[in-house]
Amino acid sequence: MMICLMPVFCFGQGVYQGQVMNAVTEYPLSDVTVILLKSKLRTNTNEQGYFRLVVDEKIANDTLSFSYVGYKTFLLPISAYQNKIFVTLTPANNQLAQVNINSNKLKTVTLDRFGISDIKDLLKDRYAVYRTFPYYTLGTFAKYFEAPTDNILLTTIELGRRDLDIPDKLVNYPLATSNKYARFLMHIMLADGKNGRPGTKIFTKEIILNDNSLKVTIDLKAEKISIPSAKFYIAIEWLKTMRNEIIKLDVTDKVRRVKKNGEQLLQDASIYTIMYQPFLTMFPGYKRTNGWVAPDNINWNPIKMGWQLALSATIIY
Amino acid sequence: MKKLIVLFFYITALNATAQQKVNKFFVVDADTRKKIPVVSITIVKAKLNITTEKDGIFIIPGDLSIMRDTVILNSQGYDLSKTTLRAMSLHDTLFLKRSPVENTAIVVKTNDDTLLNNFNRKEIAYYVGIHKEDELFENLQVAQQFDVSRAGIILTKVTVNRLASFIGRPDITGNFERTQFRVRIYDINPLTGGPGKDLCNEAIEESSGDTQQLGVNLKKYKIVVPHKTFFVAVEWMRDFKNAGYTMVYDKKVSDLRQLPNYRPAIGISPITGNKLNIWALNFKHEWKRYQYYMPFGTDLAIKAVINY
Repeated sequence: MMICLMPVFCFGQGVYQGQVMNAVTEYPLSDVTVILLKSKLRTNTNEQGYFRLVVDEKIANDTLSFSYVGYKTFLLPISAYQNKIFVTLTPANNQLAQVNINSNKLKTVTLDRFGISDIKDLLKDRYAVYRTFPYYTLGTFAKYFEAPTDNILLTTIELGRRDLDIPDKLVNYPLATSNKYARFLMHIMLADGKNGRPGTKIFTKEIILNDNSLKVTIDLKAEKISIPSAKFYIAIEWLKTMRNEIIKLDVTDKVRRVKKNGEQLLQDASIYTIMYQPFLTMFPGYKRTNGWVAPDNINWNPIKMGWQLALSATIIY
Repeated sequence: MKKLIVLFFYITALNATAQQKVNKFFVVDADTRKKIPVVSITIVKAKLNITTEKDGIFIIPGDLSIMRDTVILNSQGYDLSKTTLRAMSLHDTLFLKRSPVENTAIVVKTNDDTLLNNFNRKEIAYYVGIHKEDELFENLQVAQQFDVSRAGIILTKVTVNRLASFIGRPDITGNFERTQFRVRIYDINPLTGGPGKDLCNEAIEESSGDTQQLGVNLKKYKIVVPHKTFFVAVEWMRDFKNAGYTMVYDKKVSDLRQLPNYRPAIGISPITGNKLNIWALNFKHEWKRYQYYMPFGTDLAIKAVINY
């Protein structure tokens, strides 16, 4: 059993939220029963393994309990809770932990796999240095993937989202608002044979998230997405809709008074900037992310980020 | 400073050349001839608005006799007044006539308090009053419509949820954004279905320094609602104290622009209702339903306590 802690930020008194994952596969566990024992509040995790409990008043020495059939129950004292926590449950029976999809000589492989440990930050004080950084753009971003062979079946995509509610006011002010809603488009595109840039779209899906899960698993098995080429792109298209709004706070000066000698007396003033979900995560990966960005959703420009973008594809071939 | 801001914007907007001329105006009560504090001055076509301070004085630069625009003066408890810049070039004093509240409602026998438009404030995600890329916020007031089962109820309290952030120099000094605004209570306008006459003649001026939720006790005003619909509005005081900025992406130059914005931003209720209850007062002083957050945002994060 393992607990991975996310950055510390006081989101508000009495809010407990996070994700429950399978300790072996790191896939989300849905319908896990989460109980705040003394407060007698309970909820169940959703399809992303996400839970959220809100209490009007915290009770000292309360405990969060995570239980799921076939897994060992985990108890977490709230004194050890940190915002947007990852809890991983270990199967009670080892056989349950085995994931065996292979059959008829088909192989399953995850391209650019990343784990909870890649997208989490163990920050306990405001002066700590962050390992991960947010990636957000306006337009469409496409990440390049190369499978071992042509004619593959895409079954799952995983996204890492960055929590921008960070405590470090030396570098950044925190978000002024919180929004659990995110809606975006996910495209599968073939690589253009001539220049390698994102080419023909072969699949598009609208993704709607209704929680603050940081590791998002998109199950595509039902869509039966067959990709004819080994070289393909997964693209994320941001949607500038009001439902995706989040307000970022910064501070500047405003002129309070101008003296006769021309000297300006300044005063702090807030600047609000509207940003749009989702914010993806970059981490120091083993290779660079080869990608393209189209700010206008039409014209592609190459980018080579020095960091790995938390975006993976699981395929069968 | 506020007046200098007006000067700058006005010159920019109208491309005036006669910058050397400064026109100073006093807004006074037509009967008592006393100065009226906190008057909303709107120059309609230029889409400019400020709120005067307690001295009721404001300044417009330039040669007003050649300017073509309408000016609207509005203050709580007074009739709305319209004039033109050209007409103002001949005077330095503007008179507003009192419009006393004539509340003829019969107070019904009251029992328990009832809370209207309840929600969990921790779920608020969106705020009104901030410029957006696709829509600059150009309104003077925003109002929440309340519908009750019978006329004659007493409004005893309202609670306003606003956006408030900790600003200042990190690790040195800091404070929450202070803001000051007015709460207006309106009867229904039978013609438009929107806010109509003031139900409270006294200025309800609130300031908030360290909290996002502000409760306003209205018992002393004895506000009786004469119909089954009433409105609770927030009036922005567009002065230096409430001035901040919003960064807005400008498609024309493909870059961010810093635009002035006035506090407070008012929350949108996280609960979606079956009809739109948000109204906004534009620079022409017309109340319009505020549809930006539809179909999700139907109500403001303003609660009201009434006594049946």
